[in-house]
Amino acid sequence: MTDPTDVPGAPAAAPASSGREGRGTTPRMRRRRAAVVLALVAAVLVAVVALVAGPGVVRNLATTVADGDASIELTSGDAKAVAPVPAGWAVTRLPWEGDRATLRSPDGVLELDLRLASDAGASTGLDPLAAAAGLAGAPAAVSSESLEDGMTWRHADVDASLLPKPDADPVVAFLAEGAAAAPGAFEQTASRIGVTARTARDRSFADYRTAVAQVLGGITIGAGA
Amino acid sequence: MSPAPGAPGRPRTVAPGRAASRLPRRAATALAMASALAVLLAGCAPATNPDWTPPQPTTGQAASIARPADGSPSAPQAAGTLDPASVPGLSPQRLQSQRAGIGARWTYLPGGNAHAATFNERLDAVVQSAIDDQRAHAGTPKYAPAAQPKGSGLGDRGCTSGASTRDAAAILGDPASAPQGAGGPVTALVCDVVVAGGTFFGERIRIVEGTPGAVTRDTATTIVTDTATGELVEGRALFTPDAAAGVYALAVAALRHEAGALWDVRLAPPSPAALDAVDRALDAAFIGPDGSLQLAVPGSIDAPELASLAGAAALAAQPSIRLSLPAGASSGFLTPFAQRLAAAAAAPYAGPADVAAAFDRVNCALVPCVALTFDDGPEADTTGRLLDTLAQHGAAASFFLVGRNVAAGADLIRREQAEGHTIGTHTWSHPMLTTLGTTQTPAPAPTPTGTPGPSGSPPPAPADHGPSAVMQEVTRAIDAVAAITGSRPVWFRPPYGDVNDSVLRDLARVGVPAIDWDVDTNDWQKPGTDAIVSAAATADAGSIILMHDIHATSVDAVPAVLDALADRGMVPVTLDHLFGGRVPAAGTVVRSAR
Repeated sequence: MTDPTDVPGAPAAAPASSGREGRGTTPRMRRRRAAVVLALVAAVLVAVVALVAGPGVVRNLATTVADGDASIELTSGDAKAVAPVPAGWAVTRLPWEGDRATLRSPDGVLELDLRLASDAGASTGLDPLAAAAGLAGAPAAVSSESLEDGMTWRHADVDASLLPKPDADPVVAFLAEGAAAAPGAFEQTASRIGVTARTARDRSFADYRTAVAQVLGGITIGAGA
Repeated sequence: MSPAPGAPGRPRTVAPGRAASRLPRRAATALAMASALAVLLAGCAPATNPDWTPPQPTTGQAASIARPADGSPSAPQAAGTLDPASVPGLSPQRLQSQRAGIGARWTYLPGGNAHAATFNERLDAVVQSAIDDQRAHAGTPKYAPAAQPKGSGLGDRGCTSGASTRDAAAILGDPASAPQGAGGPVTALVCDVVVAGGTFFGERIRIVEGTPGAVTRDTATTIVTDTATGELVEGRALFTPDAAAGVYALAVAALRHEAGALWDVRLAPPSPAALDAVDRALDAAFIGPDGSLQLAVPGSIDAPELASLAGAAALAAQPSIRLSLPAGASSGFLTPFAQRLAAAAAAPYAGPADVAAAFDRVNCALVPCVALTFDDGPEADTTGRLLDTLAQHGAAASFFLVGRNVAAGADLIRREQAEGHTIGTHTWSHPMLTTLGTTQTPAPAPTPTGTPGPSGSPPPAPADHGPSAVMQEVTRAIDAVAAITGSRPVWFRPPYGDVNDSVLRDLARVGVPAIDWDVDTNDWQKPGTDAIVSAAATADAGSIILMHDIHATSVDAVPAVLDALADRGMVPVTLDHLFGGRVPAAGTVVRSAR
């Protein structure tokens, strides 16, 4: 169809605007108001979605699954650590956190949070890890093991009594701190990697000790590139 | 003519108001799509694989802590041991003496073939050694088998599953394994059946001395035999001479993981003290039914690789930690004999078959034996039922048969013989022998040396049967039984226990002793089961108990009699067994084996 105003010979129509203005608001104004409202609603929606789904989106976008045995590199100041990622494990690395990565077992039960620190003045031991994990305190009994590659690890299982929320899921099950140093020089070593292991509440960490040992046993710490 | 608006070739014009309304709509659509995408992305975490299984410990953790239900590595548990009831025919034993401060439980192989006898005799030697050590260490009186007080509960006998792996103090504090209230150190010997596979059978013996509060000795050894060959191997001899170093490495690896270690590490060479501890552990180790090596090492074993671990202190506080090494990990430590044992451990048991109780070993030098004797049969209505009861209770007995009953009861006699019971005779017609004429003298007046006749009625009137009447009564019955059994009975009981010198002289001529009794249940008076049981329970080691298998009430009482005897630790055996296979001299009167 064509606009009747364009039909030759048709009588001239009254100016459209004069009639609409006569009713108080023009359609254009109503459309503008509607557009503003719609824009505001959309903005709120976007904000809500960003708040709710944003972290998940970022995390998922930052997560990759290792097709085969792989490794990741963490850096902090002059320090560099390389950690193995077994095939099938998921790695989450946020672009702005080069010193940190989270490894998750293929079944999703075990989560290893790795964080490299290079602060010579930082306190050593598992207390900072326990505090960061929200535990009521650090484990009292700590094991120390030195591996043939020069790494020394201090680690401890987390007793249920240290969990502030007994019904939390996943559960903080294990803390470890490693350094490329002999046991006697551990305290003086600036570069250390902290590990916090969490497991699904309904699963036993004991079943994953060997998996943890395999990952931690492959971690090396050296000078930054 | 210009083309119609909107026609191809004509620039599209949109009214300003309409354009303003479309833009936010598009933006909203874009935002909605972006939001949906965000939500979608938030929910699209990398998929997990629920079928993935975490890696398992490698060979360094081949040894595992044998953990009981309560989670404590050293708590009582039965890991690696068998339920003795699952092995057919075993003969459970038990002795206890509060006076001598000894309690012992062990289990014989069934039957008396030479190979089983070798194993059983070795057990006897271990038990006797424990008795001797108790006396030497605690200064307690010499042990002699004796009936224990009523209610001692000694009917519960033999090895029990997990008994040898219990805490030492618990063993000493348990009335099921050690005498209580002795007022000083005691010795308890307990056992486990650890192997019954193929032709192999093994028993683990644990000996604990002291008090529940102060254990002064705690040793264990495993005795294994190949019942097909009679080969007997014990304790450390099951393992190669250099097994200790290898077992040490596996044990320390397991202990490290128990203490919290994540990794296996290269171990320093073991110290002499550590090797000694492992050697002692191997002496008490055993091959479990699944072929695994079961052993217990002290939690405080000298291993520097344990020192830096979180759980080291808790381990060191454990007197022993039970370890299980699977067959694949332990085979290198086994001698060829032990390798054959491990290979056969899970096979169906093919050791000595079950036999009647009379053929099982009973060592009357260790346990209080008694002879349960039954006179006057066989009787069709009661003797068969009695034999059933004896079989069910694993008891042996002796039968003094009356000659005139023999022909009618031939099948019962053959069954008595087949089941190993002692068969003796009781004259042809059950007369008072002192009323009969003897070979050298006329019929004397009755002067019984034994128990008066039943019911207190006057003995039958003397009859002149001539000088050989006694011998005829005796030999006629012997001949009748021999015709059925194929051998002449050598055991004889005079009716009413009635003998005198003349009768005894005739018995000597016939070649039989006069077997009387020291415990008379007076069952012929039918006093009821309780009275019969009370009377029988007065028996002691070596007693001969008189009963009759022709009375239903007597047979009815036999299960309770057997239970009462067992409760006090007594073992019913045949007269042959009670007298060690040596028949008392002909013409003598015997009332007990004491």
